[in-house]
Amino acid sequence: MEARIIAIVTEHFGIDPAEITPTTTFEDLDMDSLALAETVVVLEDQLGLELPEIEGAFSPAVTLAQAAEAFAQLRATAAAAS
Amino acid sequence: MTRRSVSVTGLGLTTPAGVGTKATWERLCEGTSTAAPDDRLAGLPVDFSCRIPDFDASAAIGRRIVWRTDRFVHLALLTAREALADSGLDPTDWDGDRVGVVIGVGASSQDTAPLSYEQLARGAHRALSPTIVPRSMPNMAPAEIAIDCRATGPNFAVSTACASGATALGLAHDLIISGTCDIVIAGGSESAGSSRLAAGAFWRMGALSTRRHDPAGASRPFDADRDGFVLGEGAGILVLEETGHARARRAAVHARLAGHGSSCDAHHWTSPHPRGRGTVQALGTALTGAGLTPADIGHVNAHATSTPANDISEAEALRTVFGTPPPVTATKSVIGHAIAGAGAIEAAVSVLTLTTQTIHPTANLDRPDPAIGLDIVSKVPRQHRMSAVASTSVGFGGQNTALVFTTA
Repeated sequence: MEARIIAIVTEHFGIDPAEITPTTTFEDLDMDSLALAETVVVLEDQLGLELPEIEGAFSPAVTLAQAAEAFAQLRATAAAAS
Repeated sequence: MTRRSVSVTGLGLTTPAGVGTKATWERLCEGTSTAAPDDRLAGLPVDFSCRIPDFDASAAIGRRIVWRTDRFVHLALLTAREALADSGLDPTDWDGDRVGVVIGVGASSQDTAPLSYEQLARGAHRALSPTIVPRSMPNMAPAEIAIDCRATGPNFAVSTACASGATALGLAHDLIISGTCDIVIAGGSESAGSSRLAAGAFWRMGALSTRRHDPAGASRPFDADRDGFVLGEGAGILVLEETGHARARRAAVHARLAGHGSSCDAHHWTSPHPRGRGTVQALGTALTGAGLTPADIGHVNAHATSTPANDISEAEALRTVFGTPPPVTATKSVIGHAIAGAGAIEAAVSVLTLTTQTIHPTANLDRPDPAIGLDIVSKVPRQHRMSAVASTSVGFGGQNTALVFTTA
């Protein structure tokens, strides 16, 4: 999931992969709340699911790794419930 | 205190004739149309356009801007950067509060609208991109330019349909004359040619040429066989600067924007007044503002869309103002109609005409309409001595703007 988020950040938003480390936050990349909302749109489209609960976990202050973990957990919970 | 006047110190053009001012001018001087089948319009009743040669928007303006902006913003940014570079101004070193941005935009380019409406129709609300609003609002063209170069003065978009780019330049002129600004980055940008809805809608109202068997012959202003305009796209942006300000930094000056006039036919929602009443009025105001008489104008870059009604009413207006009008050319014969971009592109072309003392030819003038009665430059460029040129623009809604440029 982290690789997928990094791919979106580099390919969709055009951020240089060299800027990204395990502790990079969205804020560090100048990604604001609209950019985060767009990230969720792209993720949901790629994975073919809807995870409204993710909005709370994606904030500019979290690292890409934390966001990936939160997304993976919510996805697993949703899969178990269905 | 000396009277303030307005100099043109920077030019930028992104058009179907080329990416950049030099490429555009050279292609215009070849005098043949750029219209060709357009895969973006495949399957539509009119499936050709004048399209900007492919350029890498990400490389040109930066991927971090491209993902969140529509094509009309890409064109505006790329063109503004060219104009600023040409002006020699350094945005890191200017008083941004004295720098305005005024850009003409008609309906922007609506890049994501078809997908968004489809998502809305099937209830996929979470799939709607949060960028839809800020990527497509017309005022984002001037806003993104301001962010790009730290221009913190007055900033707005102007919408007078096909006259928008010219109207923006007129308003920018007044911001400088009034003392509000020392520099205004002004022009127009639009990409109707990339919109399938625009192509379908203009066709349905009978405005487009349907010459599918011969796209390159479709835009033929003032020709007897003209049957409508050809959709184009593009941006033209000028750096306008108070002449004393330009002189103080020893800037190269291309020309002066000496006068402008705007009017409304107040006649019909789409058709021009049959005798070009509003164009006559706008030209009169522009000449008065420039302190010139009709006889001083050495050339007119006409609006000349290639629709039957526009070209005849415009010719009538020019005869009314000038008696025997000076040589005329029709830039849209080569690059089609860039809607809000058109008036500003033609303004930049008018400046190039002055600086080179050369009028580019009108394409496809094979059988001049005898009812037009103008001296139209065709086939090859014409060398011509000019100290002042006029450019006319006319929009749906009857909105008109005329600009007068003089040699520096």
